[in-house]
Amino acid sequence: MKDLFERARELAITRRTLLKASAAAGAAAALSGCTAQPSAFQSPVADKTAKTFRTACPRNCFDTCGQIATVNDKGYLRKVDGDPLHGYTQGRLCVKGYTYVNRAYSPDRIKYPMVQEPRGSGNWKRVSWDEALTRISKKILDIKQRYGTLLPVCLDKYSGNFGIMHWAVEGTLQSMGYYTYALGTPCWPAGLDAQTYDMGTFHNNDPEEMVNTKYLIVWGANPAWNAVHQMDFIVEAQKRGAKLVVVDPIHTSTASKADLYYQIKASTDGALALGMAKWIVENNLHDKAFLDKYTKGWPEFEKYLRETVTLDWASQKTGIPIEGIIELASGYATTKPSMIWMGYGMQRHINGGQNIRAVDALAAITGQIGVSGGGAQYAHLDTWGFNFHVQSFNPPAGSVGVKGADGKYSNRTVNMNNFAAEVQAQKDPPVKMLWIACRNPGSQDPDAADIKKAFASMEMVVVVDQFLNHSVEMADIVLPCTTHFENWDVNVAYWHHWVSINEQAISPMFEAKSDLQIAWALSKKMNELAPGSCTYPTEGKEEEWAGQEFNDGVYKLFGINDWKELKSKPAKAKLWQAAWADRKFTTPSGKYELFSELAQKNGLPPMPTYKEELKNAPEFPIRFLTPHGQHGLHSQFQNIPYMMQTNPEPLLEIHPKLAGVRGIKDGDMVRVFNKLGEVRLKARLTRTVAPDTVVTYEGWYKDSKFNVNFTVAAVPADMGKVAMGNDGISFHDNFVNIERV
Amino acid sequence: MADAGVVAFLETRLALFFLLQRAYAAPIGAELSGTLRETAVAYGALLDLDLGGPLPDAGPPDEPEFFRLFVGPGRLVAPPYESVYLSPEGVLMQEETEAVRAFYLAYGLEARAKYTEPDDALSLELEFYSRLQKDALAAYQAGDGAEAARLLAGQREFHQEHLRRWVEPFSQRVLDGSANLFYRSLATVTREVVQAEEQVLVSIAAVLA
Repeated sequence: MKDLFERARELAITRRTLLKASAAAGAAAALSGCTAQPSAFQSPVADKTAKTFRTACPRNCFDTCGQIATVNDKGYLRKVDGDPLHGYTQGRLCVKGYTYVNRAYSPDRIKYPMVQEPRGSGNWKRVSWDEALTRISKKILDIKQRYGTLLPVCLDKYSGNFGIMHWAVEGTLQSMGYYTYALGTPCWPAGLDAQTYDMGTFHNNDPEEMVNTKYLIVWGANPAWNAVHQMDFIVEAQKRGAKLVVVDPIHTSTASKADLYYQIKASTDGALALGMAKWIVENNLHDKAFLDKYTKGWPEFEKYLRETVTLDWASQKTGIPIEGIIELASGYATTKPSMIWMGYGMQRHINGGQNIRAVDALAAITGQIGVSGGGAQYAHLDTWGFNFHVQSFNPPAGSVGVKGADGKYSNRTVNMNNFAAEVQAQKDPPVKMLWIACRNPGSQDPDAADIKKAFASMEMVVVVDQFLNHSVEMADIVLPCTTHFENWDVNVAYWHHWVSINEQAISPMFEAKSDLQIAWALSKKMNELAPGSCTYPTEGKEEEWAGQEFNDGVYKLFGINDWKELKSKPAKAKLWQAAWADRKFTTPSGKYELFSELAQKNGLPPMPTYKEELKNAPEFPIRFLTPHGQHGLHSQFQNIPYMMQTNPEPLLEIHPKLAGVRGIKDGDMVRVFNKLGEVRLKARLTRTVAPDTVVTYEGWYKDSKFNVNFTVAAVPADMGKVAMGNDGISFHDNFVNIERV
Repeated sequence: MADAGVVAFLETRLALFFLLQRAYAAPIGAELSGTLRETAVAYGALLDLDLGGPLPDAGPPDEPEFFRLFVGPGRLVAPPYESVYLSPEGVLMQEETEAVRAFYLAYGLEARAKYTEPDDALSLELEFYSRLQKDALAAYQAGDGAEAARLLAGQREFHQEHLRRWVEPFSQRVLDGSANLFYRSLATVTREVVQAEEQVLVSIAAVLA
């Protein structure tokens, strides 16, 4: 091929072009937002040595697993396992946990700060951290100047990452002034209040001691999908002779493992509990000694049970035959110890809290509260006594907020569970900017269409996230955040009683920062532009900050002397085996309150009497349940390729009877609609759902507009205010009609 | 004594690879894309490849298409990382990435951002490949035939084990997923040039021998 070089000798390219070319190549990055380094290469420095790190899954999940992250000598995360020294995780993870390497190393991760112009257009460009923070700081300072307060800046942050260090997000805003924030929790507050009325607060037995029960009712929970480690203890209890009963509107995977399964009509759980209580009392199986000594209001409640409740009524309400109710009541009341575990789905109704109170009452009537292997299990926050140092910086002197009766200023709240409407309704001053972190209201909030409107009405929306979800799609600026392998954290659970330290295992991918690092960087920029405008420290060492979350109370609770001990082993709180073993309830009366004056004062029935469920409008006769799926946790994990392969699209589960009436065959596209909106889904015919109910699982699928919340109205549950500031949401009181597309 | 034709050829090739590296590192503006076109036309003329003809000016550096294709946020049209195409999992920081890092190390180099950005990013692989070319050219001009041959062997191995194996499917994803004329043409040029290396490397080896 000699002529190749001969041709080159008579080259068409001029020296000038070559010079330009090499100059351009050498001058590198001046033309773009990328780092201005002459070369991406350097002389080698020594690699690391392979190492394992203790990490902890920070997701909103019962299990909050202890993990072992294996990093090779190249600094690459190679494996994530369950921590064998974590007594609840026991060395194993769930299907989601095992995808973590691919999540951290997904090519789809948000890599750099990006700006979208205009908002919602999909026209993104990369900016430097400096530019992103400058834009954000200038907007914040501009708003503060125009309104004389930070109140137009609204934070919506919740459960996307439950690590303690992520309260740095609240710290970020708080250190700049009095701001507006979304108060409440969509998850579990009605049930928390129910237990607060009944017992004074919510404690649970050590979940590991579930092995001691002889009769377990899993009521509206699906641990086989959503709390897989609890299944080990359930199976062990079964091995030791326990009977497992599942009560659920859906024949779940957990139900498939049960000795007895009851398909209850959604939202009628209270009627089943009351029917059972009626039978127990009439058959003299109640624990009179317990009721006399430890409860308040038994005579009134007994009267209600004897005079008002009938098994006929309970059967009609719940759709469960009388014999079924009797079998359950007799099994529960005659096998000791007997435990009930209530999930969170059953309280996402307008009568959800009241239903939890009725189920709690079963445990009281049978004297099972405070008993190992017994009790009414729901949740706890008994291991969360950290300093929340990351949130401990006050607004700058002279900051103005909402003026209280005492003349002091405070933050303003909007209801997290009616976020879209309340954000738009604020007038004095209006909300002008959203900061979204650890949260994806774009796919998880009710009334998705109104959420879009709320975002669109802002001057600026900043979202901190790992993937381009529906909220990021509506942002002006997205900031990339670390996975938990890339930052330090401290993790406890609302179910088991362990604490884990989360060591940083790998460097942050691309330019991701943790919420804490963002707080430091933003404070630095704010103070650069307007000295004194932010009290948050501008730098620090994450590991040291993790250590600052601990105090003597936490040390004592977990039986450790130094938080660094957690690097070699997670620790378990020295709590009780059985909650309320001393029967010293923290209610106003000090007793278990079957009659709660506090509830009455708050406009609720004083006793766990039945509150009618929401009735559907005639044109929307089908209940649309949208519970948690197996392959994702809210809007996380489902987008990971493993999950997209095994569960590529959302399906609408329909009973063959309903499908037959509507002329729908398996695989047909179905329009699910009500007054609020619609979703289109492929039909999956199954007898796991009732004929008056359709089911799909909430979540966010990669590259998909799918969002169950287009049909879900922001209807409040009956309780939640006392424990969590606002009532819950009746996610499962959603009525629709369906038609084949 | 270095042959002027060989030097001219190697310089043109080097310039083009450097420019391709730039185009994948960050969005380039009209001026640089003009230089890229001139260089591609000249190199294409040498190889009888129609490279520069359709290559239009790149848009402004903040044009969204570059980010949509290669950066995100969101699903990338054409992730510019080798392991996405060649690893069973299709994600970042896989065995391919380690192999590329080891290759750099064998030539006394490592990426500054080795723990945070994948070593097998296209712009990094192209920069490394260009550096081998540059050093080989310098050795050839200095009359160090053995060193030139060593560096040429490195290029050959890197081309065989890395660039050749994934630039084709990468370019195809750009062509399938973009209507932007500049990026479509860039993908075509990249694919053709990397493919041509198969023969080009043999020819260079012949004159160095």
